[in-house]
Amino acid sequence: MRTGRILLVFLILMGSMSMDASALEPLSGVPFLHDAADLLFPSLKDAAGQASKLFGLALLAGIAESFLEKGKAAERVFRAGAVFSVFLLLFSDSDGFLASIRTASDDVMTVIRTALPALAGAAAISGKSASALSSEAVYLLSADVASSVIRDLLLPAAAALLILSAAAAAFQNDMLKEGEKSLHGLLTFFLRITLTVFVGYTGVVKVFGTAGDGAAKRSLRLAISSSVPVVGSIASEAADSILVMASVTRSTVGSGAVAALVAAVLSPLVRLGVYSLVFRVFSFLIAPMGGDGVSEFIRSVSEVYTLLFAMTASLLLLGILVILSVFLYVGT
Amino acid sequence: MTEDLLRLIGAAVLGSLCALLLRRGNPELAFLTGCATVLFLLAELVSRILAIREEASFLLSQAPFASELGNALFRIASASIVSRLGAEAARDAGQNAVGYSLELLGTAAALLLALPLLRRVMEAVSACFL
Repeated sequence: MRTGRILLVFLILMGSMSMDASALEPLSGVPFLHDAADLLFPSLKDAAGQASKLFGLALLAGIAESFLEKGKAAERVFRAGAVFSVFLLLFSDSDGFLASIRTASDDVMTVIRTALPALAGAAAISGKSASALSSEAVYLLSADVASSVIRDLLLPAAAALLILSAAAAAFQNDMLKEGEKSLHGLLTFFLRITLTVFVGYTGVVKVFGTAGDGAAKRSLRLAISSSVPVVGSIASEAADSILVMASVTRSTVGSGAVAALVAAVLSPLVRLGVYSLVFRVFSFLIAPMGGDGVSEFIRSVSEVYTLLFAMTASLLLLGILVILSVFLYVGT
Repeated sequence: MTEDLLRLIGAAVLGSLCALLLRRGNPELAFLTGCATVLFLLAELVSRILAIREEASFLLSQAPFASELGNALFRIASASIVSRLGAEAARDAGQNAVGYSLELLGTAAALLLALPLLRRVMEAVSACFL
């Protein structure tokens, strides 16, 4: 077993050295794990700054809306104008959040593609060539499919949801509101199904109960299911496996790959988590003061941020599962 | 502030009373009295609205873009409120069609001010997808 680990370190080092430098480009500039606290406060400051800007605009909209007769054409036009203003204030500079999740998705795939051949090689050397080859193919394919679904399908759908929310809040149209609800439900469903299929496909769930500290497993599962929105329950199931496999792979070089994964998604994860929380609180604060349309739109924005946070957390989970799953072959 | 408000309420009651007294004998003069009262009150309102605008500008001054959007919203609201006042005055004079036309005008003016915002939203949306 020790020989296998030494070979594994060697193979990862060789893999890193022989890798094309351009493959690491997406990872450049990504802060590492110890920067988590440094990331938190600027994100909090940014989110609070944006919320305070919105506060002035929402207050103005609320006051002006109270002067206008409800249901009249002029009031509808004003409401639409107020929602458009809030939309522009939040999203005119760039598609910042979506771009950061796309980058995180690319980074996760880069780490997986870099580490997986080396890990599979180590498994093959430790006498499991068939398992190693098949597992590498399966994990790489499934991670690629799941990451592509999140990146190319769910992210644009989240942007569409944001636009639909703005339209529904601006025009108070029942059909648009139904469409917004349906798209939100569909997005949540697809995110859950992608992760469920991925977890099932990689066969990680089978590892349940093979080893590990029961108390630690339970506490980790509870922590994840209560802290990660939308996909928390699925993530907590996987957390059990992660804990088991982590105990096997502890003190090995694989922790380097996992750290790289965490570092790749840490920045958007912290940023989205903070924004989601700040806007959730802000939507409650502004509800009695802001105009109807503006309050409704800000509530929808906080929900979209929560969805984006769940997507980023899913990407992290996906990467960690792949790395640790292959390690299982090496460890045993 | 309360004294000012009491003074304005007094002026409004006085103007309405005069208009009511004049209505039987000379309805045209009654209408003009009503309009004069409204104009007087509006003049008082404008100074207060300007003060509100200054305060709102201060709130939004942290971000120039927010200030610009706030001004656009302010203009839309002003167009809607002024047209509504005009429409109500026309209805008081029994001219419903004029009132409706004024409301339409106000809506068109507000729409004209809101359309650039919609165009910018469309630009942001297309930048996000393309």
